[in-house]
Amino acid sequence: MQQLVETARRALDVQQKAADAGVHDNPKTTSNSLDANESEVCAYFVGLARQRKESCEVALGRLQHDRRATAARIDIEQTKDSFARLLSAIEPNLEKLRSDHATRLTQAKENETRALKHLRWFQQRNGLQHRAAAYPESQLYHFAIVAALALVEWVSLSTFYAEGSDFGLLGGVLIAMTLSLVNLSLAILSGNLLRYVNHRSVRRKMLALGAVAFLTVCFLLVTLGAAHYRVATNDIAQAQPTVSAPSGTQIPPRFSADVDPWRAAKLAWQRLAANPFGFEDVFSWILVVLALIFGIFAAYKGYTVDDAYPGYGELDRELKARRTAYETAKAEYCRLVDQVFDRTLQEQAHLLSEVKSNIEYYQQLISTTEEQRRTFGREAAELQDACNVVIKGYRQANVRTRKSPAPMYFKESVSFESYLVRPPAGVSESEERLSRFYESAMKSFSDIARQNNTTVQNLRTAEIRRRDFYFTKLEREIKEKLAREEWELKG
Amino acid sequence: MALSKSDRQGLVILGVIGVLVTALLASVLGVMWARPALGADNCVYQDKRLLKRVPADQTVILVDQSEALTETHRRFALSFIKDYVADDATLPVRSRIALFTFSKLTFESRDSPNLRPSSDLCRPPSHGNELYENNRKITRGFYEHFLIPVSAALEESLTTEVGERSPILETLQLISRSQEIYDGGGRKTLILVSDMLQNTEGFSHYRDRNTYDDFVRSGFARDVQADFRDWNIIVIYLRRYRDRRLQQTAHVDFWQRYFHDSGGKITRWAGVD
Repeated sequence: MQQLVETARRALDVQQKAADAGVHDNPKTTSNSLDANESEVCAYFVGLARQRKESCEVALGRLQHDRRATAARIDIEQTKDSFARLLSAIEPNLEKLRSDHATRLTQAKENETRALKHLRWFQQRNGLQHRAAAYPESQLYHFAIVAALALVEWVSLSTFYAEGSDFGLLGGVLIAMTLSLVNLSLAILSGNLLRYVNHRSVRRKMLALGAVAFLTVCFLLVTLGAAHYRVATNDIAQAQPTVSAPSGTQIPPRFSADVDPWRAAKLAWQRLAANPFGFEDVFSWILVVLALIFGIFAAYKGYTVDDAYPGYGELDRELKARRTAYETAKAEYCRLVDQVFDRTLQEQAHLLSEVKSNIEYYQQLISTTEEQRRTFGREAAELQDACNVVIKGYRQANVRTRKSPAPMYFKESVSFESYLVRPPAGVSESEERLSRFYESAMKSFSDIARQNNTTVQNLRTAEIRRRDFYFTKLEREIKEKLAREEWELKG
Repeated sequence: MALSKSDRQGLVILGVIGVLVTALLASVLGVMWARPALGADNCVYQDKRLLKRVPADQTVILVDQSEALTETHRRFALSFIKDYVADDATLPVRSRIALFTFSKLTFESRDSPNLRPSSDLCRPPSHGNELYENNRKITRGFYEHFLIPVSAALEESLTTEVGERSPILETLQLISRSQEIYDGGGRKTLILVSDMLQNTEGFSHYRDRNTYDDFVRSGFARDVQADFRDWNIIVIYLRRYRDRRLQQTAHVDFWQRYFHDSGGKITRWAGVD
């Protein structure tokens, strides 16, 4: 207020005007109304009060508009309906899910049961009940180990072949790689076929033994051939004497042979045919022994690529795949069922939160409106007081300078017209009623949400029981169906 | 389908091996691709049809067959040239070496002188990188396709004698202007195996007026003017007992002045008795 007073005094030059009027004994002692200076002061403060009132009216009008808009968004009955609809949609959704997944689940379970039955039949037929199928968990890893072994073989044998290659050690690795691919393939294949020795069928057993013998011979031929090839390239190279830089009359020796790989291969073949084990140097024997070691390991990997009994591992994997497919279908169905309940709860939470935020906003607008009105009342009174303080200061200054007595009205204070200090219209009666109604509706919604949560939880529990029953029933039905089929077949 | 941990490990191992195999095959292909187009003469050609050689250093061996070489001369020349061609520093890999012989027969043809190389080969490498080359095969190729043919041709040229005339100046002129020796390559070296006694009708060291000044004054110098700019000259100077009177300092000075005037640079003057 002090600031208001000081501003007015400075703006209107009150002290000077009071002194000037006092010198001329104005206002006259007999005067009953405010003089021009006092009227100016009053007009100044009235103007300010009018401004405040107008701005307050604008703010209150905006708040009223907001209240109407917010109230339009709040539909208590519709919200109640929405809460009710949330629960009513659960059962149809679950029913739809059941019908959508029934075929897939039934088919998956049937496949699993058939695979299990087939496996049991296979175990019984081949006397394998006493043990489970044993095979590597990952075929990729199994063959990766074989590939790593092959890599080791290429590197170990590369130096043996490097002498016969135009590309030095790189060529040696390439030749070793080619021969090793052939060798390891033969070894893996023979190891794999060796599993058929465990087969109950004598014919298959014999065939497998024959094939393994054939592949072993091929393996030995390739290994010995490779060793002879190395010897041939070496021998051809050694047939060309080592030559130092020529000097004097010494003539470099002539080369009678060529280290052409094909020529070496031909020579190797001739030597292999003549004497397969006729190696004169120890390195060829080392090469053969290394190739044999790698071959034996590769054959072992070929043997253990699957269960020792042919077909057992395959059936076991089939069963596992079917079981996984059924479990996946089941898990997917359960996930979707859970999703129905979770979605319902989420939608309810969203609905509740939305209506709650609208109602809270409405209440906030009501309280803001009242606050605006209270503030205006305080400010209008403050302006009136400030006006009286300035006029009082004027009169005191006037009295000090005038000679004649002061007019009687100097003792009276100034009052603004009532419309200026009266706050504008705030919240209507109907709005206050509506606010109370919203408050009670909010409580009601919270109660409904709590009830709904309980209901959803109960429905979920019931659905879990029903689901368990459904799966049990499904498994029983499929067992019965397969038993019926078997009975019909036997019949 | 989700991969298990073992599957992933297997894939990593297979991937690493696949990368190694790919790198190996790529290296072999790269080595194959990077190998130059070689002709039967061991030279590198710019095109696959072997029409144009890649410019390289050139060495011309010129053997004078006007008179028979003594055993000492022959052995020295053979040893010198073999050491020269076997040394990577003097004769770099893929540089060309051409062997020419000359005698009176060279200039007997009516149309034009008959100067053709009796051996024209490039020097292959004598050893290779064991990682991607077959060292033994390369060494064998060096002997079989280069050193032996060159030695054989050289031996033959050093044992042949076609007497009477010794047209050294005429031959040097022919060599310096021959189309057989192409320009734009690397270094050019001439190895001359001769007693350096010019003996033709135009000029002869066996006559009285045989100094370089006499040669210049005679006008014959203009007829046999050679251009040995950018050439390095090595002379295997065969001293003959019979001609010791002629092969004195003045004779050597004659040839030094001759090569100097024709723009050549004598890098070695190897005399042998």
